[in-house]
Amino acid sequence: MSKSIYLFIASLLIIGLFFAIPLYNNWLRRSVLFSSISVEEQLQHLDPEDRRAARYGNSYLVFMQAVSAFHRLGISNPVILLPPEGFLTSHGCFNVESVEPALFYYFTGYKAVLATSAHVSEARWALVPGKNGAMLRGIESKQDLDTLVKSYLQFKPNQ
Amino acid sequence: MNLLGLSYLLVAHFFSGRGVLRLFKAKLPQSHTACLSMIIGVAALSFVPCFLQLVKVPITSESVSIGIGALTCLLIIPLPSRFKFPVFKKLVLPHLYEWPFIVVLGVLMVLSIWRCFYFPPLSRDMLSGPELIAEYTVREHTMINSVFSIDLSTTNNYFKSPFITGLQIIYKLLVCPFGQLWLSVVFVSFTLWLYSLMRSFIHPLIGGLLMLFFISSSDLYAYSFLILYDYSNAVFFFCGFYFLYRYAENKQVHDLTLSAFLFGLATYIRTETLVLVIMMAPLLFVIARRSNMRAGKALLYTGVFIMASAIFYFLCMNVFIRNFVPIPFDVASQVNPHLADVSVFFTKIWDISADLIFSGFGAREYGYFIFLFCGLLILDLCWIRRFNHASLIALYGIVVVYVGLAFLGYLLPLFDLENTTKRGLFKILPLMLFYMFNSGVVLRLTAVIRKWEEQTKQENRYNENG
Repeated sequence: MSKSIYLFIASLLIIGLFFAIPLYNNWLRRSVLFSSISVEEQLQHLDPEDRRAARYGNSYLVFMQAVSAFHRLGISNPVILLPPEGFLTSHGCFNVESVEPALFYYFTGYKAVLATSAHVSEARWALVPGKNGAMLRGIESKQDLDTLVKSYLQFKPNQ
Repeated sequence: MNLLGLSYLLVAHFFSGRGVLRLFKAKLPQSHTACLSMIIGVAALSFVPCFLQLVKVPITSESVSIGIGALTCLLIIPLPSRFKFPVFKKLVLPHLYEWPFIVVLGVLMVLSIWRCFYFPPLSRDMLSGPELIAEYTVREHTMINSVFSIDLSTTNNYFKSPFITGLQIIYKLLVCPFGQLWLSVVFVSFTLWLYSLMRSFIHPLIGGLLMLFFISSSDLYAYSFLILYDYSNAVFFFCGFYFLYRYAENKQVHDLTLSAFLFGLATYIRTETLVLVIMMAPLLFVIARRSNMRAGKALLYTGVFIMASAIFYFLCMNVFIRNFVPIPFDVASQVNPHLADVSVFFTKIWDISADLIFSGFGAREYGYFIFLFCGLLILDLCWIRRFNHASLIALYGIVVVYVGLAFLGYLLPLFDLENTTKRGLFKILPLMLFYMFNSGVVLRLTAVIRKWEEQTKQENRYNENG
């Protein structure tokens, strides 16, 4: 038998032993080959919006669903007051992660502010805990805004 | 996905990178030239949206395509000056025993490319900075766009280098809505180049295993499909280092200038790399001393070497960021106000080892690759007790990155251990791999296997001749 065949068998053995090492075996199975959605599902969902939903998860879907109301109602340039993460979880809303205004703008195309923002007075809408995780509600008055801001400031701001 | 746009970009990457290599008179094997051309071409084209913005041309798919075409034409000017028709030698296929490694590396590359294509960018640093700016540049045709009218109080990521912003704009406009595939071009070209480089130093059976350890560094692999600065920065840093090694070997000035240029690109990608480049400079004095170079000439070469990175730093901070980000940026405010307290530096030195490398966390992030390097180094120290030039230069590079990252952590409080330093250590991994290619133990093993192979060939010849 040619020595090239011996070396071929050796290389197969080396690779087999390498991936038998628990660290690399776990890495291969859990990080490389495993995916939260299978390749077949990925091939069925090639639309960019589906891929965004798969990547960014439930929070993204909730944000998009919430801001779709602006399209329907023809509201232009609304500014949304975002709650801190702790506020949402303290109201039983565990499946939505609150984000910073930059990410909210990236996801939805709508401007948002935090309770700590210098432009918080521009907010006319607020993201609040709701039935399906979180929902938007209009800010009725300055007093309403102040109450919301006061309750949001009790929690650590979003990073 | 726009395959025509992708093909156009791949051709443009190759020819622009090839032109740059010719400009620096790099003489390399064809496989090295092809891979490095693609890598350099990616960086070269990243400047196109920035130049369009500087001259106030609206950034659209047409203007970007024309800009890429123009820059490529400009960069290939050096090519025809010494044009030779390529010599198509008989195609040499890899040995049979290399194929299992090639298949595994290939599968890992394909999976990385697919993820890079399929999923949108994820990291917060991107979504609140370069990716956000790129997305709105595509919509509003200018890099100075509505992003700067929103509440940016929670982020400073818009101050980062426009390297990724530029590439994301190009790929979003010409290829697919999430961009990103430029990272696959860098990843695949770099992996193939390293494999090709490995074959020129050691036996592919050992090299294949080392490559497997390298590519399976889980964090490094993850950033082959998650866009961020550190992977590209590590690639260009290593490219710069490789040509510095070549300069040390053959004393050809064009290798030094190419090294300076590549370190400059690494600095353009992550500006703090300038500190590491300055720390690389003493090596030039050692090389100068070994070749009995005059002190003035040595100083000049060192000055040029550092100046290239300084120019790219200036271009990034004082030209692009100053013109594209309508928010003032004070670099001094980022610097540690308590520089007199040097204990932070030594704490960082310790923390990198204790928390990042020799810990369960380190094993999860980098696999056993760094442990393998340490093992080989110990064997070389205790058993072989001899280091060739290449391995000594690699060790110097490793020390520079290690100490440099600790120094940056001391200098810049935002340069934290868990994120910035952890990813900064990507730069050390290819240097360790390069050391392994030149390790005494590995070279001895290579010699043993090659001798064994040669014996067989001789025996076969003897048997054939009766």
